[in-house]
Amino acid sequence: MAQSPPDKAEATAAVQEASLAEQVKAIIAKYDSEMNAFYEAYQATKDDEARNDLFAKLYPKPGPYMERLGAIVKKAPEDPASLNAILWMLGNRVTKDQRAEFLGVLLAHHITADEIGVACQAVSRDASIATEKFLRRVITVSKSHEAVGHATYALAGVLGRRISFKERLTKNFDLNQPDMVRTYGKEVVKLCEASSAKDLAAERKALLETVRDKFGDVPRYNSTLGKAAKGQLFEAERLQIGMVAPDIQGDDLDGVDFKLSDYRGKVVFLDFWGDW
Amino acid sequence: MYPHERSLVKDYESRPFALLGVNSDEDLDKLKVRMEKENITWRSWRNGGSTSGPISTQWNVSGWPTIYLIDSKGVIRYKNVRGDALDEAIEKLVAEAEASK
Repeated sequence: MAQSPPDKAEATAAVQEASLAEQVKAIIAKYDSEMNAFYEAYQATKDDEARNDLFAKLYPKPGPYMERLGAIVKKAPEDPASLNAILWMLGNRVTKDQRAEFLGVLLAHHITADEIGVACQAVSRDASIATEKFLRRVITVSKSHEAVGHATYALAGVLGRRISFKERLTKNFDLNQPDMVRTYGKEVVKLCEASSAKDLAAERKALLETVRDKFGDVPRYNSTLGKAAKGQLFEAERLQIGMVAPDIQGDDLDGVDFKLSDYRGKVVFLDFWGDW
Repeated sequence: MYPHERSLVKDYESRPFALLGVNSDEDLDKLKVRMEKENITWRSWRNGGSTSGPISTQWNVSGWPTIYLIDSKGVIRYKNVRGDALDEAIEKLVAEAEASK
C-alpha cells in the first residue's frame, strides 16, 4: 500500500486545535495570575476598609474571561479545548442559562471524555432539569468509573434538593418564592410539586447505596465518594426530625469520656462548632 | 453566636436544658484560652481536632455551626434553627419536658 501524503486539511486542523487549546490555557492562566495577585495583596491588608477597597479594585471579574471562553466554545464546540473551557466555567459562577447551554455542548460532544466527572462535581449543587438530564446521560454512557461515580452521587444530590423543596412547599411556602425560581427555574418548582417525596427518597437512597457499594473508592475533595455517600445515608436513615438521636460517646476537651444519652430528661442543644 | 449561647445557658440554668458542643478546633491550647476569654462554660466533645473528625463525619455535618435540638426523650425535633425561632423552639421543648415530669 502506498503511503498517503500528509493530508493538508488534517494538518491545518491540528494547528488550529493546538492554538485553541493554547488560547484556553492562556485565558485561564491569566485569570489565575490575577487571582494570585489579589490574594497576595489581600494577605497584606490591615482592616475591613482596605479589604473592601482591594476587593473592588483587584478582584478579577470572571465575566470577560467567560466571554472569551464562551466564544471559543461557540466556534468549536467539539474541540477538546472547549471541554476544558467548559469545565473551568462550570467551576466558576455561571447563570442557569449558561449552565444549561454548556451541559448541552458536553452532552453533544464530550460525554465520553474521562474528565466529564469534573463537570458532574461542578454541578453537584444544582437541581435543574438540564443538570439531571446531563447526569443521567453520563451514568448511561460513560465508561469512566470516576465519572459515573460522581454523576451518581451528584444525581442523588439533585433528588435530595428536590425533596427539601417539597418539604418547604408542603409547609405552605410560596410556590413562586423568588430564590427558588431564580436559581432553578419555574419548571423545577413545578416538577417538585408534581413528584412524590416517597419516590424521590427511594431513588435517592438507591443511588447513594450504589455509590457506597460500587464507587466508594473514587476520590472526592480530600475524602472519597464512599464516605460522603455513607454520611448522606446515615443522615437520611438516622438523623431526621422525629427520630431518636444516635448516641454520641467520646472525650470532652479535658479528656473525660461522656455520652449524649447521659442527658436524657433534658432538652439538648447540640452545637457542632469551632472557634473560627 | 457566643453571646446568644451564654444567655441561653444562663436563662435555662435551673431548667431541664443542656448546651453541648462538638468541637472541631485543631489547637486545643489556643481554644482553651479563647473559651476562658469568651466565658464558654458548656461541655464539648473533641471531634478529633478537625472538621473531618469522627462525630461530624458520622452526623454528616458539612457546614459550621450545625445545630440540632433534641427533646428530653432523646428525639430530634429541630435542625439548624436560628435566632428567634431557636429561642421559641427551646422554650417549647423545655416546657414540654417540665410538663412530662
